[in-house]
Amino acid sequence: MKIVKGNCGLCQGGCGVLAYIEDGRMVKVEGDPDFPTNHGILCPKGLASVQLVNSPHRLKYPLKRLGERGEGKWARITWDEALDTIAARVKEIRAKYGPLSVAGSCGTGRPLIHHDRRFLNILGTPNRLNSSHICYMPMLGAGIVTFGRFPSSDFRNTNCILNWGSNVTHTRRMGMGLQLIDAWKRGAKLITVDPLLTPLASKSDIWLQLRPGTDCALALAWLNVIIQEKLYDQEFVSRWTHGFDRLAAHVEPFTPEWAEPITWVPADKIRQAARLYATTSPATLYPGVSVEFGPNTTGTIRALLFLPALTGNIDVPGGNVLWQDAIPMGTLYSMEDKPATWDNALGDYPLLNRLLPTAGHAGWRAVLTEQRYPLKALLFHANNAIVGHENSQNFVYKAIMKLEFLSVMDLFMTPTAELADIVLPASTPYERDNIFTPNAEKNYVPPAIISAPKVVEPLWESRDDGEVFIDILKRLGLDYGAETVKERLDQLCLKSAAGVKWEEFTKMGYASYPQSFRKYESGGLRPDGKPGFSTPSGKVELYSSELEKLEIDPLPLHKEPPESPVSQPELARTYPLILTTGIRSPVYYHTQYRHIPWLREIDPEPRIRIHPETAQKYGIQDGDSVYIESQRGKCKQRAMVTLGIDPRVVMADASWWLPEKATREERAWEVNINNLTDSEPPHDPGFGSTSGRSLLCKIYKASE
Amino acid sequence: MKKFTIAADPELCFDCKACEVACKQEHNLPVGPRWIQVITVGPRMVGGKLKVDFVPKMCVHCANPPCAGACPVDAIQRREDGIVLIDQNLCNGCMACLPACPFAVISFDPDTQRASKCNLCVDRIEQGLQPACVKHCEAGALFAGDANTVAQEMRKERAQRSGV
Repeated sequence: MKIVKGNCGLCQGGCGVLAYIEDGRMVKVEGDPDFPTNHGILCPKGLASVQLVNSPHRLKYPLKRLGERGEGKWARITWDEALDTIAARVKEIRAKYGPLSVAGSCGTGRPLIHHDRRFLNILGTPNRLNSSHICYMPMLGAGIVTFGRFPSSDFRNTNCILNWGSNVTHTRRMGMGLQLIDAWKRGAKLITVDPLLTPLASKSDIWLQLRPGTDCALALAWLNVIIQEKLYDQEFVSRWTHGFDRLAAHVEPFTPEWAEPITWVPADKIRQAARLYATTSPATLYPGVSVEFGPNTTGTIRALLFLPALTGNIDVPGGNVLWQDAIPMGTLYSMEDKPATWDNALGDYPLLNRLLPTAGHAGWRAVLTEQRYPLKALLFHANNAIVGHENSQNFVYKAIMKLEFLSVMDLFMTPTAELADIVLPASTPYERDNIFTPNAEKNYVPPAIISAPKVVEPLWESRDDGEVFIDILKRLGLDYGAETVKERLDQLCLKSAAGVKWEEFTKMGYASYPQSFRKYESGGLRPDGKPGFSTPSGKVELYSSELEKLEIDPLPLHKEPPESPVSQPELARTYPLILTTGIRSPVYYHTQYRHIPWLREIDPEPRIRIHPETAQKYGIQDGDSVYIESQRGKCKQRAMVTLGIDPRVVMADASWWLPEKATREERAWEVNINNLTDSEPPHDPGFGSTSGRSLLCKIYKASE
Repeated sequence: MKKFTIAADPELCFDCKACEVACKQEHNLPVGPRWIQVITVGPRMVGGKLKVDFVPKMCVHCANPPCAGACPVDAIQRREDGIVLIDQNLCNGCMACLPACPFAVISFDPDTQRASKCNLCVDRIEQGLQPACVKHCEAGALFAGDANTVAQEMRKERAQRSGV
């Protein structure tokens, strides 16, 4: 038995691990006490790594489809045949329908962005069908519009945490969850905004239980309190912000009394929370992914980001800090080699398309309607769109069935892989050389680049996605710009805080730039080295002339969720309950890991949280199987009757599928809440964000 | 002589379940026996406020373990160092110990057909290491080691957090 240092890749954190290797097999994984982000600690996912790597259910060989799409008949083929087929089909379809008829997609699992965005660039397409419109890009993009970059939370030095719509101790845990807990343990105040009594909400000094989808109204009321009661940092505001007077006039009507009937949060409580945040110094805002959903993400996130701006908590220790990334975003996202076709990306979402086009739904719509140009083939890596994308059954599935070609590379035969023409077996993160770049994650402190060297050889015929990108391009006569994955990693490491080639970097394992604060004074934020922010006005853009030009509200406004009892009272007669789909399990990562016995034992099936009054009204008891239905579709989850949710709201588990079920329909859709979510407009005008966290539904007991 | 023990402070637990999987891996347990399990209590109304607790439950290695008294074949012994162990060779799987335990923390292993519970990671303790669950707890809610040290650590942590 030997013990080697490696990095967990079961989420994007890249925590340091000690991997126990026996006869070439990984038999145990524990936290590496010397690693600077996790200090020997690991989450339940990481601790189950051996059951992922050694899972008998993994894809083992390349497969080609026999029979009809989705029929489940496969033949084992060689890698050469698989890659030759992909290259031939790509060539044929591009010749027939044009260069933009082939696109790709990579999901969030096993970090690939530094490979797959480059791959698509060389292939000549801007289109990457993913969930960036509801995950991270709204946060990043709104941060760029307002400050020139995203201001991340500095839990380590803070005295007050405003945890807005996140359950970070369960989800994005390493190292932000650990840092949050440390701050809380040493007495930092904690305010949580969440429709559900999460573990973090339960330990908070103040919990604001808002109506799903009304975050912007609540944030506007906070701004009203902070401005009316003169709780803002007058010196910072007058010197470093643009448009304060216009903002002050704009939020004047948005009093807590105005917000109370919209958000369901009592006005007194709004005042109390806003005062605690504004008068505790330093204080940090930590927004979760929840605020990246809905038709108003640009406004919502900007309204939230004004809180640290007004209170002078920008780029100060313990506030929201404009850290220097350990690897430039443009390098990580391969923005240097954007294809000429970039401006023709699908979806008219200017703020998204300047970062990572395109919204999955824009791609699926293009497949179905062929409005701008036909999209006929997709090369998928680590993407389980049937489970993860909005409106699965009536939209995503129909589009996939209309494709002329689909290849899927993944760890398991997912409901999406089941619909492919070619299925490729992927290596797990422990079986490939890779980097983790949690600096690109919105809130990782300190921004770092992490080397994650392979600790075991790939099992069966599984391969690194990066190698496969290189091989496909070679067959098309195109040049990836690197002969091997290691050469690509060399390029990235050299342009990062590592500053050395890959092999050399693995001896360090971790690198970040020295950080400083108040860079708007010292000149560390702008390309020209002058003091100020990297924005059109050189200041924090409270009023955004850039958004005005794009015909997006230059100041944030509350928008009623398009599907709510307020906006659609008629529909609410049939579908009376507000459905939110946010909850995430600490043992899963998006659609992954339902195969892992140790994790599935803890969280065996998806649950819908229902208030006891509501449960009684519909004759539902805790543990009953319940149908949840919206105007788009339905699924079945287990009732969890709890006082932790408002009687007018139900909250369903997301990202579930059931690998053990007999039929494809049951596996993909029996419990899939994305049968109910909406892909259609209105979308956020900047990012194309969809409404997944505020919809209307009805519930009724299912016979088992 | 040191007396080893393990204890949890539920106020610190965030219900992340790392302890449960760390234990499964360390002892290569199948689905079924859960030597440590975080139980959610609530949410319930307490003094007009909603309260929810996350309570890690595992064998606390009693000074006079009732499970040992209930075992008809004397398979359960408390060692000199305080660790209570079930001798898997003696255990006949009669399950008399399960209800005898006041904390209901003994499991039944379907594979071995024996009673099964936390052994305080005796192999790790003997090497001077923390039990796997304690090492991987994200919030430091679990404490293990010599009983006096455990009590002091919990006390210190509580005082630092609450300031009283």
